[in-house]
Amino acid sequence: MKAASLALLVARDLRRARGALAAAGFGIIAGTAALFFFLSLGLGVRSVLLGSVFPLDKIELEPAAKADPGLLALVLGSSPMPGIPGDVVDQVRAWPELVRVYPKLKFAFPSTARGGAEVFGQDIGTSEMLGDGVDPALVEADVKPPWRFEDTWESGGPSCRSDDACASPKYCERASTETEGKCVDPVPVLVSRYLVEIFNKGVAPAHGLPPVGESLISRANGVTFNLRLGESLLGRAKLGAPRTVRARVVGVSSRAIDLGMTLPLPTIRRWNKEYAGEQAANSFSSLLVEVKSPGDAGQVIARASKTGLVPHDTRARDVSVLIDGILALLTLVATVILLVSASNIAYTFRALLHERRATIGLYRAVGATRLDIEAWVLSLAAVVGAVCGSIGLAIGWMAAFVADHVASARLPDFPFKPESFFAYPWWLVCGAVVFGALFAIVGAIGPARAAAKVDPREALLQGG
Amino acid sequence: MTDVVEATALRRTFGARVALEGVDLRVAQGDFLAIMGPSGSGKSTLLGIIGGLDTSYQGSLKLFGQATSVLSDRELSLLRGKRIGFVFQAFFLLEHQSVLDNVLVPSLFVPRTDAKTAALQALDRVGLADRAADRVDTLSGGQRQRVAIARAIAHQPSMLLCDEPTGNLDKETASRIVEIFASLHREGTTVICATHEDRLAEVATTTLRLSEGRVSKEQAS
Ligand SMILES: Nc1ncnc2c1ncn2[C@@H]1O[C@H](COP(=O)(O)OP(=O)(O)OP(=O)(O)O)[C@@H](O)[C@H]1O
Ligand SMILES: [Mg+2]
Repeated sequence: MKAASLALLVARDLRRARGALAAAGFGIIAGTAALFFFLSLGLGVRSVLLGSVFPLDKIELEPAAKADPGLLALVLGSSPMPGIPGDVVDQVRAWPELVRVYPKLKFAFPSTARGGAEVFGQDIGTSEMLGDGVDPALVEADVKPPWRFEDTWESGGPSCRSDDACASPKYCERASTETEGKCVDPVPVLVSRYLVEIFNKGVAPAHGLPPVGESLISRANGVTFNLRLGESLLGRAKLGAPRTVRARVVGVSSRAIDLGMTLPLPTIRRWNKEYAGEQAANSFSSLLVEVKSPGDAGQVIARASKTGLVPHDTRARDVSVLIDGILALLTLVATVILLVSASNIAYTFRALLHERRATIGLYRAVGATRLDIEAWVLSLAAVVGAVCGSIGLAIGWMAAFVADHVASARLPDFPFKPESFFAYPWWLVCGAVVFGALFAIVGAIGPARAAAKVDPREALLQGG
Repeated sequence: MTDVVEATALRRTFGARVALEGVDLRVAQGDFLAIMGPSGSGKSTLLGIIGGLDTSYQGSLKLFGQATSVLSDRELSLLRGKRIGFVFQAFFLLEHQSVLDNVLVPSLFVPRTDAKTAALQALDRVGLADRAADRVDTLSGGQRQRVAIARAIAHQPSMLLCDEPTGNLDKETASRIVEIFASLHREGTTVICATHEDRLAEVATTTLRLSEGRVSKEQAS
C-alpha cells in the first residue's frame, strides 16, 4: 500500500472516529504532559544546582588527616598546616580521569578586610577573612577585562617606602621584613557567586545596603578595599609584623572560595612565607581537579583516598544523586500514566475495530494484505499518539510557564533563585511527541494483529 | 482456453459440521454460473473458497490456471484485488463517504494510475455517474447495490463473484440489478452468483444446485 493511500485512510478514520480517539488519547495527553513537566523541571533544577551551586565537574581534594586546623591554629601555630607536597600534585596530575589539576593554597595567617565605600556608600568589613590562592589558569574566564589575575608584585614599579611615592591606584607594598617595597597595582581578588548571592539576598536587605550584583565588577575602577595581613580579632601571626595591602575585586567566579576571597596563588605563597614560614609556602592546602565527565568522579575519589586525600565537599554528589532519584521517580509516575493510556488505546481500538469488522473484511476482499491492515491500524495509532503527545507537550509547557510565573511572582528572592526552574532541551520536546506515538503504537499492536486476522469470509459472506 | 475456476473434491467443515463435500466445479471464461440451493446448502461457503477469501478447505482449487494453495497472503490478496470483483448481499459500503470514494476503495490497496477515470466509467456503467459526489447514505437500496457493483467492476476483473446480490432488494429494483449482471456477462465478464433469485438463474448460462453441501442429483439436467 502506498503512503498516500495510508494517509487517506488514516485521515478518514480520524475524522469519523475523532470522539472515540480523543477519549482514547486522553491518557496519552495526560502522560506526556506529566512527563514533560516533571522532566523539564528536574533538568532545570539540576542545571541550576549542579551548574551554579554545586558544580560537579570539579572536585576539591584535601589532606585526609582532618585537615583544617581552623582559624585558631593560624594564631596559635600549635600544629603546622597540613599540606599537599609538590610531588603528590605531580602524581595526581597523571590520573587519566582528570582534565586538569589546580593546586590551591590558603592563607596561613589571620587577616581582615575593610572597604567597599565605592559601592555601598560606606566601608564595610569583616573581622575575619579567609583567603584562598588558586592557579590563575583556573579562573581565567571569570576575570573581567581589563583586569588581570596575577601576582602584581612581579609587574611592580619603582621601589618605594610609602604610598605617596606611587601613582594611584598603585600603592607601596612592602613586606614587614623589608625596608624597601615596590609600587604595585592592587592585588586582584575574585569572589564567589555564592558570596554575592548570599550578600544580595541575605545580608544586603537586612542591613539596608544595595545589592551589588554585577556592579561589583563592572565599575570602571573596580571595587577596592584594604586587607590587613597578619592580624585579626583572634590575634597575630607567628612571624612578621601586621601590614595593610590593597586589593581589587576583578570578577565573580564559581571556582572562588565560597566565603572569602580568592587570590592568585603566587601572592598567597609570598604572604604565607612572610607570616607562616617556608613550609606553609611550598605545599598546597588542596587540589581542585577537573574530571573528564561527572561519571568519573567516583573513580577519582577512590584514587584520592589511596593517596591520602579526601573530597572537601560531597554536596554536589549528594545533590546529584538526590535529583536523579527524584527524577527517576517522577519519570516512573509519568511512564505509568503512559502505560495505562496505552491499555486505554488498546481497549478503544479493539472496540473500534470490532465494530468495523465488515469494513476490514471488505478491504481484504478488494486486495488489502494482512500487513496492509496492520500498517493502517498502527499508523492510525501513531498519528493519534503523536497528536495527543503534542497536545500533552503544549499543556506541560504551559504548566511550566505558569509555574515559573507563579514562582517569580510569589516566592521570595533567595540565593540562586533561577530565572526559570525548567529546562527544555530539544530532545525532551521531540521525546514527548515520540513517546506519545510510541505508547499509542504499543497499545495498538494487539488490536492491529486481531484486525489483520479478521476472516473476510466470516465478515462478508456469513449470515449475509 | 484455461478455465477461470477449476475445483476438484472441495470439502469444507466447520468443526463437526460439513458445509461442503465433494464439490467439483469448472467455470470457463465468459460463463455465467448461478449457484442455487436452499438456505444452509453451502452456496456462500463455496463462493468464499472460489474468491480466495477462505483458504481452510480440502481439495484442490485453480484460479486462472494457478493453484491457489501455494500462494502467500500477499499474492492471494493481489490476485483478488486485480482479477476478482465481489458483490455482497449487504453491500458493505462506507456510509460516510461519497459514491466515488467508495468505488475508489480497492485502488487504495492495489494502486492504478487511471483509478478515478475507471471509477467514473464504472459508475456510468451502472447509471450513477450523476451521483458520484453524493454521500452513500443518501442513496436507496438499489442505488447502493449499483455502487457496490461499480466498486467490483472498476478494475475490470476477469471474474465477478456475487452472493445474493438481490437478496435485500424489492422485485423491481432486483430486476434492474439482474439486468446489469446480464449485460456485464454479454460484454464478456465471467459471473458467478449465489442466488435464490430465479430471474438471475434464467440469465445464467449454467446452474449449480447445492443441497446440504453436495452438488445435487438433478444437476445433470
Ligand atoms: N463459521 C461457521 N461455523 C459453523 N458453521 C458454519 C459457519 N459458516 C457456515 N456454517 C455452516 O455451513 C453451512 C453452509 O452455510 P452457507 O452460509 O454456505 O449457506 P448458504 O447456502 O449460503 O445459505 P444462505 O442461503 O442462507 O445464505 C451451514 O450449515 C452453516 O450453518
Ligand atoms: Mg449465503
